[in-house]
Amino acid sequence: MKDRSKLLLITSFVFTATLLTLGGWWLFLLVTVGRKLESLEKEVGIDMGLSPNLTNLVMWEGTTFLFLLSFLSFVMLFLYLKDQKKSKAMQDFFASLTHELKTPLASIRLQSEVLADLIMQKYQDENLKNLTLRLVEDTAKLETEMDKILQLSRLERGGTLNLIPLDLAHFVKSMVSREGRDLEIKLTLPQSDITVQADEFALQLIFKNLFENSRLHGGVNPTVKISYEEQAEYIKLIYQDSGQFKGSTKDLSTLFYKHNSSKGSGIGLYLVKKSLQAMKGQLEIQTEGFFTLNLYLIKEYELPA
Amino acid sequence: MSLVNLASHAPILLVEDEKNLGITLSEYLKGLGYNCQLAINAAEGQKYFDEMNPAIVLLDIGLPDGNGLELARKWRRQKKDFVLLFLSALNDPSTRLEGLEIGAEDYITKPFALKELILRLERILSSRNRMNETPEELQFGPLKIWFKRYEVQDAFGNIISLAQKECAILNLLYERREEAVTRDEMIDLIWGTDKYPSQRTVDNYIVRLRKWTETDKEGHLNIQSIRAIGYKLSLK
Repeated sequence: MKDRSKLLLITSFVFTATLLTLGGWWLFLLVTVGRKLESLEKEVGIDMGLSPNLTNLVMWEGTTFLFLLSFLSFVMLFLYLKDQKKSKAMQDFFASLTHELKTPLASIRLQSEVLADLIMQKYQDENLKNLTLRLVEDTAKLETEMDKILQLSRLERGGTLNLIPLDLAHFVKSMVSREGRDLEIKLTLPQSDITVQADEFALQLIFKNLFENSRLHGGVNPTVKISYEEQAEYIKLIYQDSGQFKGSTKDLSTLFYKHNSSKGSGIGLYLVKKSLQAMKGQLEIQTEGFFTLNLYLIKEYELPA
Repeated sequence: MSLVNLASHAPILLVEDEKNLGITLSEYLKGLGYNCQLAINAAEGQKYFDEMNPAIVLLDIGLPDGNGLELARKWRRQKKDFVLLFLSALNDPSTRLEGLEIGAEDYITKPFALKELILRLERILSSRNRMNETPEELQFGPLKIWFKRYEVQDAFGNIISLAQKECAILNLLYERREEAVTRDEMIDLIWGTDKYPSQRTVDNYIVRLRKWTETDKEGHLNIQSIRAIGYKLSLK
């Protein structure tokens, strides 16, 4: 983000400078040629149809035109930078607000969990217990949404992730059992230790996102298939679900793109893509046939024992 | 040993400025039989830390009168044998890393799952208990181990501080000496089933432990690799 606004500043300066030098040069040429023509007209004494003050006219109009052009580009740049500053302030505001919301949310979650526990101890009432557990589930949903916003603003501001070696099979299995509710998930994962370099929290968020998408768009009985392919430098994790997608694949991982879905915030897949890139990996989307996401994660080489 | 027995011997200090969260958590822990003390700011935290000599510290980072990371650094200098857990709403990788570098056992982000926190406390206490059952000082040739102090002595007489994980691994291997312990078992027992360190991470800890054991040329204490299985500690 920072780099981009720097680039913009440089290009606009280059643009204005070119405009001024080129315009100035042309103006200079026009004026000199005009003067020469005028003097030629006088010397030879032929009427070439030039109006008497043509050169002065060209000079004045040209200068005003150039001046206006550069003034306009400066105003545009100024407005753009102001807008950028504002949007950055908004982003910071959302990040800190979201952060502020987390502590009371943690408190609500804790009280609901304690409540569920007490209900079971004192009343053994399944209904009441389920009620409070649904409360816990909702706080978890809220938490995921907040994490998405925070992670996005962190990555957009050029924040880095902390890559550590992770046991992929173990990780995926545990994500499936913790977050894979209401989904039928088929896993084809290696038995042996396959280690990738990833940020644990970012990868968790990626999976929460993918499962949530599958629940939203996977039809009546959403099913998911997760398999993998080992490549020279990457582990390609293949995530396939029963969803159908008829929109543009290219737009799918852009920010706020929702196709014709009224649900979701539209940051999910964009965040997945950005997080994978921040982990030196990549996201590939295939929408023909089954909706497939290929997640490329860099491999951690095992040292020979 | 039952949980209650385990718990009552190990004082827990909870430093948390969010009142509702702090009160609920400390009351819940007390209800489970833990000896838990709540401090609502850094100053109070310091007071209870000195008074009660806690075995476990649950520490928030954003405190009204100080920074949890600074406080933890100070307490670490004061005392080594307590388990530190950060409990914070801050979740950026750099703060997390900083927390772990101070020697925190874990960095738990808010909101957290109560059951997971309790499981973690139980695991910490049972491993602490295992360490308490071993003698104060163990000696193998020139090598010495003080599990409770998280320290060892190498063959040249240098005293080396161990990280909590290193100490836990050494303790596990010692408990099961002359027996192969698989890497998966180590991960489940020391990191917990909700963590996914690679087996390579375990290997790295072993490499560091071996640097210490290999100062003794006579090999009184040896950590052997068992190919495709794990490690075995053998004594001479």
